[in-house]
Amino acid sequence: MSSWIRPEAFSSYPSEGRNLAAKNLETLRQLPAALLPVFLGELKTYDWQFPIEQHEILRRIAFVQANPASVSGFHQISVPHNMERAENIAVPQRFLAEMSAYLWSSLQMDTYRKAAGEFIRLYQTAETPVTPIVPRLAVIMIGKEANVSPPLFQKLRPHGQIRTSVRIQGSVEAILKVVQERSTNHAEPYAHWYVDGGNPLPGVAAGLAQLSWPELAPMNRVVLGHIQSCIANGSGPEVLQQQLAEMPLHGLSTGAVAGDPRLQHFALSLFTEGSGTQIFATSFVQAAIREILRRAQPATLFARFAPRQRQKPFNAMVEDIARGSYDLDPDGSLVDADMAAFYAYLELMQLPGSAQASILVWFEDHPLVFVAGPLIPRGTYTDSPCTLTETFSDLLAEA
Amino acid sequence: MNEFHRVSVSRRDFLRDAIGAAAAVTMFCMRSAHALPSLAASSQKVVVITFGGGARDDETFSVDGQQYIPHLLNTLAPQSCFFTQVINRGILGHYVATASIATGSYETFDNFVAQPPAHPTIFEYFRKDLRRPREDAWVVAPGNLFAQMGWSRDRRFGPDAGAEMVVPKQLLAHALGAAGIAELDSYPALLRDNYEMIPTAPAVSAGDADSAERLTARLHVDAATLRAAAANLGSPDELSVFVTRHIMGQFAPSLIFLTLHDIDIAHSGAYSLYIEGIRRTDRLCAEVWNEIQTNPEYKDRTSLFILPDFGRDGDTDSGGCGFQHHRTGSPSARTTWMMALGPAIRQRTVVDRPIESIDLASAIGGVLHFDPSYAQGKTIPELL
Repeated sequence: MSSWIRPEAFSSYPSEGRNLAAKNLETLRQLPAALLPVFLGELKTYDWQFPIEQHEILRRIAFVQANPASVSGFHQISVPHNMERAENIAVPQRFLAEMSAYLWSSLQMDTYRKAAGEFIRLYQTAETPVTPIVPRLAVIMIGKEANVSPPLFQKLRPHGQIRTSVRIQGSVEAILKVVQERSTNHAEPYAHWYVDGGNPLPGVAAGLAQLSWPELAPMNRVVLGHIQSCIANGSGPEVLQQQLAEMPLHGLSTGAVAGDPRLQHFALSLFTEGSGTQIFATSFVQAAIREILRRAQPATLFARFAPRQRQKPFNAMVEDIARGSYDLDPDGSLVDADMAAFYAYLELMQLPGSAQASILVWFEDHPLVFVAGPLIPRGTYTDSPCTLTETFSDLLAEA
Repeated sequence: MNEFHRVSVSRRDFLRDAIGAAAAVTMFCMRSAHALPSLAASSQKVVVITFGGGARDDETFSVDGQQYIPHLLNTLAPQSCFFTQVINRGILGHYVATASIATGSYETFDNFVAQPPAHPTIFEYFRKDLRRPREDAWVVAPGNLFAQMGWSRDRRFGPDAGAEMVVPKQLLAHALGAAGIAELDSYPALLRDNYEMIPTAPAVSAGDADSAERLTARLHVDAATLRAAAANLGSPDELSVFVTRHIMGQFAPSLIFLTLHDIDIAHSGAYSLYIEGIRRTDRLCAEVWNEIQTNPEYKDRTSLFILPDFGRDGDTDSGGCGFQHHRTGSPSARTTWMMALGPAIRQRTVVDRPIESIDLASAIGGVLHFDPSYAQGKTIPELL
């Protein structure tokens, strides 16, 4: 029994998370110490989590209550008592970082990994996943302004079909139409998303949750300011991580996320928890795709890559971003985005309803498209002329 | 077949076909370095290159990855003893993992704090056992964090018994001088840092500056020469290899430990830059091998060991971000490979037996004839 876990330690938590913690205090006290930071982190951010995440958190707590043996693997991990202190409850991100460092240094990370794998297996076996309101669709545009065309979709190819003669004209409109129809016909909070590494396309449906790198630049500049301060005062990366994790949202509302606290926190997390998201537009979109799929589990995700800046010394890139002026590397960005599209596919296949999910990746302004879905033969190729509208029809059947 | 073994299988089968190698398990016969009369211990040299920082199978020796490592694959592998399954069971942070390779023991210190490792290093064993001067063992480090890797905190050894340390970025910063520090951005390719560590100015303390000045003088490389050379180099690792070649020419040390790090740009999430780093590292490894073959002090007496400090997370690792990081501790992140070349090394051999990255210390001890008595790693009998 972890009697050091007291209700007052949660006083800094937002209201819903605090109430949930109070309601499940005994469950938290029963948790193995190595696992505790993960649950605390979810409670601390509970108020800003997406609906599906909140649902999952409640289910995980209920599952642990009903199946205490599911976390038995974590009991094999020894944790020093000095980690059991109230301030670690107040700042679970710091607790998690401290625990992670300890697990590595005590060479217990493999034990932790094994215990986590077993817990996830038991949980997924016992719980019925929440399926999407409509079979999931991810649409990704890559290669804006690229001048070269390396072999694309090499990792994706075994999973679907490459089409080499897709009509370019009208393709953007076809994507926007499909996305708009889905968001209109299956309206639900945070079920349909649009992410852009450049300026948003005109005509994107208003019902989408939207993020764009340029529109979030003011938020990014504040994060970069923290990073530059840490560099200037010689703080280490661990201090920086802690500072970023605890960065307040006040005054950072910007762009399409303004007025939506959940979206604001999500956008901020992409900059404070992401790596490279602050300096490379491609890394931002890649991280956004991953986190949207993992966290919001959307029905529709439309993401568009834009060229990142060319690699320079870190400080120079930070300054260039702050100035808003930098050289672009569209060809390298195409390679980045091609890999990111593969990762998007892998993430999509991890979600409930994956057997019905589809993905379309278009090399922007080129006749090259990759599609995968339940109706698409795998590992195939076609050079038959077609439009993107026809491609969507093949992919979605009912579109 | 366990997970670690599965990771190594594709590279093993491919390599065996590619180089026509036999498996060490079928042809292995014990042959110690003592049984090599033409390779007297006193004349042997060892160069270690960490193929850093952190490269996956997917982008190196897997079938998909071979396109990025033409030099390793076509030039070096066919003459090598290749280990398909090198496991790092320690902390997957670059400095602590590289220090663990150098000590033959899993170090457990804070990866983000510059400090000497706890266990004695191969440089200390080498110098003490064989009574070698400091300049006979060198460590070429990618940044300030690694600057104390050449000796340990073990009081039986310590700095006086350690290697000569050089951080090429410090040398360049010194060459630029205080007034020229603002010119750092004139060398954009050389001074960029990875994205796991916060970058700091290369020479930040009087001690660093003194050390850089002393080294610059010892290396007989004047500021103008260094600046001119640096202007034509494309990355921090190219600068490190430039300095390494200079050290080989000036001192011909018997033990060189070169830590490459360009690949760690992967933390930024840009796959193209990660691949570019691998291609460059592949080329630089071949350049070092060519230097060994053309430098009379090294030719026919040098063993070259090339190994990543560890891998990176797999594409499907739960909770990971694929190539970007090495946080999950998965088999993809822990399992990598090692290539050994040279006259003392058994050639055209593929070894499937799992070894650990900390075993390298004993292997080097076997080649150079010192006893890494406190190392935890095991011997690698298939090598010799």
